[in-house]
Amino acid sequence: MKRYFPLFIVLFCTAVTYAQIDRTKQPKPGPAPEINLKEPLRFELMNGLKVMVVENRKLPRASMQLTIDNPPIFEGEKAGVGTLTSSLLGKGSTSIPKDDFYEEVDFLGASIDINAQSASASCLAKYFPRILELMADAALNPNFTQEEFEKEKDILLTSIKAEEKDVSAIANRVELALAYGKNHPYGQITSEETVNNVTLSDVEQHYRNYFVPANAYLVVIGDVDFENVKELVTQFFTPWSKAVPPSFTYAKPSDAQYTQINFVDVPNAVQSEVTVQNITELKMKDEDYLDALLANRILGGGSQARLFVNLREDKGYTYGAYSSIRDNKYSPMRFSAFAQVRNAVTDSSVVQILGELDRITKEPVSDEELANAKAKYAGSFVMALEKPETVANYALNIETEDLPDDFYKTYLERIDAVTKEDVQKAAQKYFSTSNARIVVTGKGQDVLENLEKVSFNGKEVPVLYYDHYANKTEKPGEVSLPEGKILKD
Amino acid sequence: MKRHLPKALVLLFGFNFLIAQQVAFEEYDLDNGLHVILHQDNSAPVVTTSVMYHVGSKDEDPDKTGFAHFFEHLLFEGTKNIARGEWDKIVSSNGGSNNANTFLDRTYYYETFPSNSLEVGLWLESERMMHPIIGEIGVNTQKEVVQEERRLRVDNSPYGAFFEQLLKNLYDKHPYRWGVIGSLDHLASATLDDFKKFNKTFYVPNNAVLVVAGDIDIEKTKKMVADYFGPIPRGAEIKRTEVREEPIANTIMATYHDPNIQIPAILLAYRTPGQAERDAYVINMISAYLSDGESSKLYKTLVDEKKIALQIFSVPIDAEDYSSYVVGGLPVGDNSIQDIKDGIDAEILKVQTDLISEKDYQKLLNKFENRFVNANSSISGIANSLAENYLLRGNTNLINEELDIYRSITREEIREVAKKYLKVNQRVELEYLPEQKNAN
Repeated sequence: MKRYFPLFIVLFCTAVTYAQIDRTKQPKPGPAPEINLKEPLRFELMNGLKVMVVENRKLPRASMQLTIDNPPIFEGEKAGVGTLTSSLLGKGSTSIPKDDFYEEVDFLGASIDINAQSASASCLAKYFPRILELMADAALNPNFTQEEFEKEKDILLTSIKAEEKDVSAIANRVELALAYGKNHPYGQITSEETVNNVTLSDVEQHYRNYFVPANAYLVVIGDVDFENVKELVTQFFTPWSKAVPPSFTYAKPSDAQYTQINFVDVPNAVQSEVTVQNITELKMKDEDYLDALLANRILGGGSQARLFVNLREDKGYTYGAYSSIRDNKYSPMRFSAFAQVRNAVTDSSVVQILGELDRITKEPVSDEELANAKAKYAGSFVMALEKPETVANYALNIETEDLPDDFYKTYLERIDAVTKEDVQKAAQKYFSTSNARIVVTGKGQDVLENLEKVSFNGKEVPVLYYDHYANKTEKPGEVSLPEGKILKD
Repeated sequence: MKRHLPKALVLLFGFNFLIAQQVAFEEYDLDNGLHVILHQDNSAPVVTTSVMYHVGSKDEDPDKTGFAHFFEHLLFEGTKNIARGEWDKIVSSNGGSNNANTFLDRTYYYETFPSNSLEVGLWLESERMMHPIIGEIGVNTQKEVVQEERRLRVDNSPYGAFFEQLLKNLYDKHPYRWGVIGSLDHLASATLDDFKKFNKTFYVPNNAVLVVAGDIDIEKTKKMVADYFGPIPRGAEIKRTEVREEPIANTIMATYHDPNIQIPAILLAYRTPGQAERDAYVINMISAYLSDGESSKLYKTLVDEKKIALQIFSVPIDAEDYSSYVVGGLPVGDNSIQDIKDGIDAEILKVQTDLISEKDYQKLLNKFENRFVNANSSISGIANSLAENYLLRGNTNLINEELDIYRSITREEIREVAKKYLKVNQRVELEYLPEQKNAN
């Protein structure tokens, strides 16, 4: 008898516990976890380099990130000089030959990456002092050589060639060029021709001009000691000469005069890249910054947003449809709503995306949508605390974006305070249906006939044609006209 | 004597560090066969709930391929208690994020939440396992979506077909041969009953592992796991037939034309041991030796010194029955894929002939130590490793022991394994080429 008793208890308990939950309703979440936002420790060097340190001993590792917060650089006829400068950096220094440098970094199991306006490295904590030293040396004393220049130029030219038939690379290039204009840093096109204009001395000059400490921030995170970091950084970065980058102006990007389709023919495409875009001016410090983020979130910020639910879950046109709003303190930016869709539904997708843009500007969002969007932001904010770099990123944003000191401390409250009216106002301000540029990159033979019939709010949407480098061209398959004339339908 | 003492202390200290880094976990089975792994880490208010099912493309009927991946989509369509379209709303209204992925041997579903929504995560995953809705609307929509996924990832994407092409050539009989996304025709013609049957066979507690990791209380979590998953009935035992391939005797030559590319690529693929086997770890070391970092042999010779490659790569692709090891590159300028192939072969021959240097060996160990430390930096990453180590490698504790395996591999072993598996006559040589001009 006695021996059966425990088993009986187990069975009994199991039966009782199973009965206790109600599966038909979503369980209520517990009380919100407490958030503890720490501050990084800081110091500044005489040359202007600002340093932030986050001590985090959870894992025996360290990472360092140098950011140079310069305005965007227009490269014009020499587009590609920035890319080449990046490629030529991080190949040793004036005192350490390239092979020895690579060998030592790899031997320590570490990685160092130097770019035209940034540098980063990560390693086990025990190698931190040496890796910081190597990173600083390679960044501040680069050894530019003609041989490496020729090699990297060959690689860049081959990469440009490699993208010639890549539908999304073509789409991306043309979208940016049309949104910003080719005379803007974000719209300029790097081509075989511009790369061939670049010389080694252009690279050296680009480096001298822009790799300067005036707007530079170094963030060190991990199993490190503040005093030790301060000593090492001071030693390795004090030789960096104080300087400010040159400034220049460029044309401000502007929207299309009327809503139009810009078609780019890529005969090998089996899907069309559809992007509806307009220019916005949004900075993190703007009053309605969070309103704009929430409006974008509800429109196209994820798998429960309107674009995804409509184009994928309801219609099955695409694997995913999203939208992005971008902030920038230096330049107006592109807002875009986009999807890759199968050829046969290209026109319908344009209509659906425009319809969603129209709806979110004309009607207030639902209470449920707003509550879910807020919850998503709040959740992401809480979960981001898992990463030690989060507090450093926040501190960096406060500095570089000119934000109030309590920007992140009040973040959750401010998210919570956003109303449906705020969201609609932001949608009206930042999403355009009257001056939208609809860039469609796809197979003209399959999609054009229907695309030319697209109308929106009772008006036909004109189609203009562009080549793979964003130059106006004629309709694919049409007979050429004398230069200067553009075929309209 | 005295001078040695500090060194000993340092060593002791170092050892303690690794102990501190141990990923502690508890594992047990429910009566219905569901394996449960719990890992508690209260340092951030984050929790991951995840289920890995032991079903992948290799479990499919050769005439009905693509099912496992299709289920990755279908099982978001709702359950008896969660209406269609509600799943993602529930996740985001709790501030979480979720996704799923499918491979040759397994399918993984997961959510990460602020830790106050742990119970929501358990409810969601238990609903999915207990009574998903498999209906016409969901099936028809996801058939379209999966077609678009294929176009996006394979048909419209430069080099997008390489894995599919390699598998097709590497395997003759083994169900790895049709790849993960499978046949769109099979999916189009599949019936609701086909899907229901597949679900009943594979998506059962005795074919799955549940991981709960992060800011949890172990005892409370155990109780909730029992409440939500305990009542799910055990499924029938799954019969798996082991398919063994004859070793490749003569080099398999293959060509593929991709309309989305301009630069050809050469891919050399070897069939290597399943991921749980020691030799698979040795292959990982060989791969790092050849292509990880700028001082690695292939990068240094082909990209840096001889300047014949735009890009060079080598990737071990882990799987349960066989892994594959793929080495390849893209030529730069006027160089040819033959030049790259010759360069790769010369380096592999050296690994097969000479011992790698003591210094290179130490470099490899340092690299793997670095990887090991970084592997466990996020809760969702830890959950994934725990599930995979249990389900596909049969040892959950590999998350703590993996580095020891690498440290125990000798230089001689590296040479032997290179000799054994990286033979020219035992590989697939895939010439991955731009479409010919006259094709349009």
